Amino acid sequence: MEVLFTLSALISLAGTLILITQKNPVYALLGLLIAFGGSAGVFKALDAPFIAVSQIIIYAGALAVMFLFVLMFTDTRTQDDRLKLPGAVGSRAVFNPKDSGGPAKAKKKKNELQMPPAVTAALDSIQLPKPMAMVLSLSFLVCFTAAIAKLPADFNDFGPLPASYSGALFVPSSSDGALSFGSTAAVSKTIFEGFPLAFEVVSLLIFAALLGAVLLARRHLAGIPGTQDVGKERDHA
Amino acid sequence: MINVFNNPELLLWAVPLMPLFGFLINGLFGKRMSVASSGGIAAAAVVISFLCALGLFVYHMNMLGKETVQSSAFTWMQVGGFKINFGLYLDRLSSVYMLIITGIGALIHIYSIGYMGHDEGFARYFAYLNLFVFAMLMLVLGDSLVTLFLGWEGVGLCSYLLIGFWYKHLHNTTAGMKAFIANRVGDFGFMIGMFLLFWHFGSLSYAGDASLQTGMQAAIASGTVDTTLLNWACICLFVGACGKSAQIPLFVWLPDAMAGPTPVSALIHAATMVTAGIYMVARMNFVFVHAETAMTIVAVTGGATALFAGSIGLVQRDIKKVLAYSTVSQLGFMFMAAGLGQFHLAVFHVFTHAFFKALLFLGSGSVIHALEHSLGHGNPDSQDMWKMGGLKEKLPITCYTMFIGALALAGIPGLAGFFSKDAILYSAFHRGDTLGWIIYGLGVAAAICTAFYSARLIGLTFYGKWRGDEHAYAHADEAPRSMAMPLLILALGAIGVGYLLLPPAFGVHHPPFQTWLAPIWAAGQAALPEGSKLLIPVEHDSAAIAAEWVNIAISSLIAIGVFLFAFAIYSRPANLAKVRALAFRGEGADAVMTPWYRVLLNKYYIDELYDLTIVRPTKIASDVLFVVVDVIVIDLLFVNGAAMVVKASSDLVRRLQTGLVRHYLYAFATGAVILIALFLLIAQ
Amino acid sequence: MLEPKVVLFLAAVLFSAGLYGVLSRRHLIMLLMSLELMLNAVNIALVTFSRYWAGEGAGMIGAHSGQFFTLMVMAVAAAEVGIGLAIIVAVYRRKHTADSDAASELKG
Repeated sequence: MEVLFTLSALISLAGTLILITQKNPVYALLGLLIAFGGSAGVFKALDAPFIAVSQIIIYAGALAVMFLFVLMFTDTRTQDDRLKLPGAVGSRAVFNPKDSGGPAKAKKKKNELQMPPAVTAALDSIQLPKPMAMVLSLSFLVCFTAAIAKLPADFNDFGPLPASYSGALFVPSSSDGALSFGSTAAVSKTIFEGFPLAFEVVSLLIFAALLGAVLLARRHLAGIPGTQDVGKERDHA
Repeated sequence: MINVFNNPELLLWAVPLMPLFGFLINGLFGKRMSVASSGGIAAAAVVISFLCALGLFVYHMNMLGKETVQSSAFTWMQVGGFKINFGLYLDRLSSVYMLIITGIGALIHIYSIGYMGHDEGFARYFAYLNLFVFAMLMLVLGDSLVTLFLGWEGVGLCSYLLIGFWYKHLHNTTAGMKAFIANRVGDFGFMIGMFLLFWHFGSLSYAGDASLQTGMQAAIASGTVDTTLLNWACICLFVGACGKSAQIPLFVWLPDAMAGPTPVSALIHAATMVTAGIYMVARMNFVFVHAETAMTIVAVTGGATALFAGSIGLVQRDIKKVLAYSTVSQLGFMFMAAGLGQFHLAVFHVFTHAFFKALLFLGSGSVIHALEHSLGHGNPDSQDMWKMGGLKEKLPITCYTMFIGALALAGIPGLAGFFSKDAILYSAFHRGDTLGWIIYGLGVAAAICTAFYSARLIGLTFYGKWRGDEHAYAHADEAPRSMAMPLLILALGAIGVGYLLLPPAFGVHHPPFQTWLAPIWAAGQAALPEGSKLLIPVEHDSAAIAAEWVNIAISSLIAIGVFLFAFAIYSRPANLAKVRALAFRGEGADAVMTPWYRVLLNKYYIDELYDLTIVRPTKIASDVLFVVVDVIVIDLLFVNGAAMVVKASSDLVRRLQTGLVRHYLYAFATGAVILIALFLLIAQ
Repeated sequence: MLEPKVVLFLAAVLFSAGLYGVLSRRHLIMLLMSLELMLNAVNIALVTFSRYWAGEGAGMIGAHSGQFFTLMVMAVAAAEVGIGLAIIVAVYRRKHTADSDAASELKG
């Protein structure tokens, strides 16, 4: 367990580092995926295999692909990126094929020892740390650390459950003995016996989000400014 | 189906609500309706209302013998112990008023269809007129002084709207405002009076268990009648009545109110609204009888107004102005009667006056209508009697009906006005003390004026030679049927209604009108001591009857003599020149008015006096207040100052609002850190 | 036995890193990714508490409620990303960029 956790935590931190330092969105997305993969390992180490699998399916399978789609469909670089991004590939390469690899090629001639161009680009696109953001997030970290340090050693020392919680208490029946902690069966029992209403409400929420996303991203909404295609708007003008 | 006719409460609600429906229909959809449908709906509403009133009066009150009909709709307001019900209350007094309002109102609505048919604003006109009838009915049918006040303000509003009906002329709108302001002064007094009564009795209702009457009875029973307070309350209420019923010193608005359409003058400013003050005093008679000082003030004010307005009426050239001053004068007679304690005579004079004054106004409207046809609308010549004459040939129906009205107004024996006015004069004559003689003197002088200007009006308008524009005379046509019919009905009334209250000298000791209203005064009469001057005489001994004959002889002689004299002067062209010599010195353009004529023609300079003493100082004070308080303090310091402070501070603060998401995120995260840190420190 | 405080510390580090990402980025998609990282950190904390504070008497459902909440967070995050990306596409259509500074109509 400890080994799995340590490995997963390191992977997760490494992915996070890539995410927050990369200017290139595609690399950053890669970092996010690595961080999520590490988190999945952490979940497994915490006896939550169902969560771990869900993490991989939902984040890696669905969200990451969605991010990627949006990245590829739109030229989503900021003005900052356009000016300062040196020799980056990825989305920039797609839209500006002429510039791609220009500086990289120049480097090639100078140095004998060559790194792969993607790694060079990735190293080039690391952004400098921003002091204000650093200060704020570090103070968050300090606060959280202080809070964690104050926790009792044994979590059961938190004391008894609040009185208002007793209504939802699950009385183990004889069949529950067979279920081990964190198993899929136990989690599904929790969902469908413990919180069926919340589960349904969340399904409704996702449905609403689906409709909302379709409506927001649709093109050619008659009469609503800003929903017209860029090219078409230009034509009309 | 509910039998509406057998249900007096439903019938009672139908009376005021019908005109309200008419108002709503005309007010909301009037623009799309034709004259016939608009006027038809308005007139039908009031006619139905009149039929309901008639049903209540004949069937429920006379045949079934119901004394009162009461219906409470809802609690209007309740503040602590102060509770006002919104309800209707019909008794014998309000039944008389209800019949006058709906009956004469219906006739005037029908007349208006002919009179206002060519006016572009006819739907607005009929909407206002219906609203007026509704408000007036609320005034007389309300079950408390507060409901009365609601109607009181409602009729004031309609009066204002209708005086300024032809709002394109500044003169008309200022006349409307003058009426409104003069009435506000009165309303202020009325409200103070109401507060005093509420303070004393804890109620403002005159129906139900906890009413003013029961409060009064309890006070009498325990001997705690506060006469001083009641005097003040009654004086304050009378100030309100002065405003609404155009008595000295608040009468100045009524002559100017003639700027409105003539049927409005007939309905509002002669027959109904201006008599609301009499209604209120009669309604409160059980309070007024305890306030002897207030009663004296009422009587003297009434008498003075009667003579004052009557003398101004002698010289007015405008046919409607004559009638307006005559109305003020006759209202003075009514207050004279009320102040002498003879409330039934006051109400009776309201009743007869409604007929002949509405008749005279409608007749003058018919004359104006005929002349305006060629002179053009709003031409003052169409109302100037000196530019009329000989219209008898052209307008026979108008002439003869108006003649009847003028005879009734002058108090010629046998017609309605004689009986009511003579009875009032007799009650002053009979009283026998100084006050009685003063009132009698004023009354007789006013009666002389009345007879004079009545004859002058008829003589100048219908007899003699035409003195105006020939073209107008040639094109003057008799009124259409819808206008002639009300004239004829009202003429019948002006002849006949007087016989409802014949004097005891004629051997009638229990005239129906007096008997009908007797229960209204019963409580007040019972509270008066034996031999009080304010008592309504019940028994008439031979001496009283002899005195009454003397009085009848005097007033008949005055009326007939003065009427004939004035008629002889004004109906003959030859005599007109002599009259002119009385008024002017010199000839043609150099003519100078004689002082007495100038004073009378300028209404004793009352308007100028008010202008100098009240209007100008108010204007100057307002100008000062405007500059100092409004412009400097409020506008500059408060309004603009506050705005400038807000603007300056927001100019600073709005820089925080960069519109950049990351700035908001920084702020948000900083706040979160601070909160978490604080929480950790405190939870230590 | 895994020390729970270590796991929680990992969650805190991930959360702060995510916050740093959110604060330092102007690119809307980057912002959204960092947000996801923060949510993930919260999930780790939830599962940790679920694991170590199963408690006697909490029962099967009580013991797993932390995991259930994690699932809820995931579902909500999915919805949020869907909407967020749609908004980014809409902003992009209007501004021809995904720079968060471009959408500054609220500037006072």
